[in-house]
Amino acid sequence: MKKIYIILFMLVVLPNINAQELRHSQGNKGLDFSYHFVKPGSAYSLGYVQYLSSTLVLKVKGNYEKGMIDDLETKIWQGLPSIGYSIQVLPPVFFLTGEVGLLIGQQEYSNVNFIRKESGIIYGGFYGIELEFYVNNNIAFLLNTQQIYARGSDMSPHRFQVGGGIRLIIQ
Amino acid sequence: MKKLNYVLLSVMIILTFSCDKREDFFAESNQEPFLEINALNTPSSYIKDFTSVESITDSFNLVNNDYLINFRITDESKDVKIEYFVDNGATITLVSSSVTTTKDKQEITGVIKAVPNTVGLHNVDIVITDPYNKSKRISIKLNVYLRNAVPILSISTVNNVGSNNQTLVGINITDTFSFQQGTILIDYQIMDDNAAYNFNFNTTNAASINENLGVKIITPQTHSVVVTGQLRLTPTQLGLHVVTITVTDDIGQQTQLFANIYIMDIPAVITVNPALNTFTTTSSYVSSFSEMFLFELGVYKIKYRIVDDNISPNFTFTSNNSGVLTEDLSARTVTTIGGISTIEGLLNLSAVIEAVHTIQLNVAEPGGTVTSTSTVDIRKNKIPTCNVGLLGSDYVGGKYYSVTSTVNSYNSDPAIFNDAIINYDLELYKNGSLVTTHSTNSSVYKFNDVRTIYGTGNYYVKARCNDKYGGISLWVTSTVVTIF
Repeated sequence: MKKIYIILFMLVVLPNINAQELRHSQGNKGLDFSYHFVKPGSAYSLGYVQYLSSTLVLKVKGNYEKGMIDDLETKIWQGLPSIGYSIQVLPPVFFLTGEVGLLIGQQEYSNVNFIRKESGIIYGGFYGIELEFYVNNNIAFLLNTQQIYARGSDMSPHRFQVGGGIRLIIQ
Repeated sequence: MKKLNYVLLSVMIILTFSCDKREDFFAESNQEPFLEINALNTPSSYIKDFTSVESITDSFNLVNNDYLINFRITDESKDVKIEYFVDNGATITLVSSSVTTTKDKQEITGVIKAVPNTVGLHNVDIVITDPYNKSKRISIKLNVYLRNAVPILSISTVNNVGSNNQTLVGINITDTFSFQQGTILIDYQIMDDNAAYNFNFNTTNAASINENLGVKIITPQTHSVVVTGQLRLTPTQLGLHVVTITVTDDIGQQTQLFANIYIMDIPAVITVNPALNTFTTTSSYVSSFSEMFLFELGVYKIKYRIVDDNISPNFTFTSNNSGVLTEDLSARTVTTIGGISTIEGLLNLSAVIEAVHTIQLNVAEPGGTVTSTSTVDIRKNKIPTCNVGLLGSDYVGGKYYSVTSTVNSYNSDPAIFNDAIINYDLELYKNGSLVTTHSTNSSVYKFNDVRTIYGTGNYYVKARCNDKYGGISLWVTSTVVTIF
């Protein structure tokens, strides 16, 4: 068991300690792949990240959400541009980023018992937090959650997504 | 600073998981399904048009075998359940159904067959329920019978002004109405043990006829149905209109009645009365008059009276010679008794020139045009003529001390204006010079004691007379009287 901890220490902690100055550096870019749990189902995100400084980060995400609320099937495609502010929680491994952004997208609703279907443009905003756990200078695991407020349908505008993923840094 | 960060982190996490209140709004907005039925294909039924009334009564003749109900269901959900029941040992089955789907709704149409076995009251129920348990029920109280009598028909025209008909009699009727009444109402009542009757009506002559469905009442009885309704006959010409009304039941038994409607148009009667004017010779309404009137008096007033079977006849009036003839609408009154209207009003004639004005009043109707023609001779006032004589008076001691003038006036106006001299102007001259003047309403006037006041000499008088309407004669001169 001790060997496992030693291997993990060598794989994760040592590289992190040695290369911390390369993370959250101005000009760094990254690609995010995330999976989210949502109240009626699941969602997937593909994002692009650019660090404006060591604390400011610009993100653009594409997000697809699908689920069932009772008999109501929901499908949502949405774009989420945002700006985030990062703090070092446990340097240089853990970074915590609070983000706020806008939302625009398309949603479709249908009920198995009804003839009609509804679809339309949605718009709004969101805020969220994201915890980065750097494995090395190029890879970080993500835990994130976001609260979304989107108008444009008869549904309640409030919903959230919580999940995790991986970030690949392009230096 | 770290504490603050963690506090912010905690707050954000709490807020982040705060809410997702999305619900199935399709289910929340779900409406109850819509159900409507008719029994069009059941001969004895009177539910011929689709209805969604929750409780309805119908009749069924057992000779027709099957009581067929057409249903139509409309709903926004896909799976509407249809249930149907009948009591007293009768059977009920779904004969056919078909589904039509549009963008957001589904319509199910079909036929349900009930087969009652016994005479009496049966209850037929149709219930539809959508996936969210919203339902709609139509209950039919079905009077089942086994007989077939000849339909009973009765008609009347009592709802019209001037009708002489009885209420809903089962015989042919004859009645007479004024054309001005427009639409004639013919009430009907049908009683039959079979609601599957066929009802027809038509009319001769130029007229239109239709049914006033707004007043139609269907009253189901235990083994029959009573229907009351109304036909609307609108003649477009005078004369006899024969309305034929026929009721035929499902086995061809027929009852037919005729309504013979005579349409006539009573010619209007126009009378006039110039009694409001100063120089009238007529004080009561007459068919026409000829009057004279003085231009200077202004507006000539004519009262008129029209008696007609039309409450609003086509009434026109004219004047020639540029006379402006207008009606004082505030003075118009209309009284209607027994379908005959009396319209009274006031016309004002303003003359522009001195002339005989011909006044024509017309009422044009299908029954004919009636005209009343009167004349008003409007003349301007003419000046009077006069002459004057002068005599010595107050003869004392062989001498005259005074002179007395006498004016004889002559009015050139028509005789009715002749008594209108109101004033005489007098001027007394001595030896050709004016010594005094006087104005008097008397044709004889004495200048007192002129010998003492003005002295001896040759006296004469100039005089003129004034009539009531501003006419002033020329000055006339008397003979000379010598006072010595």
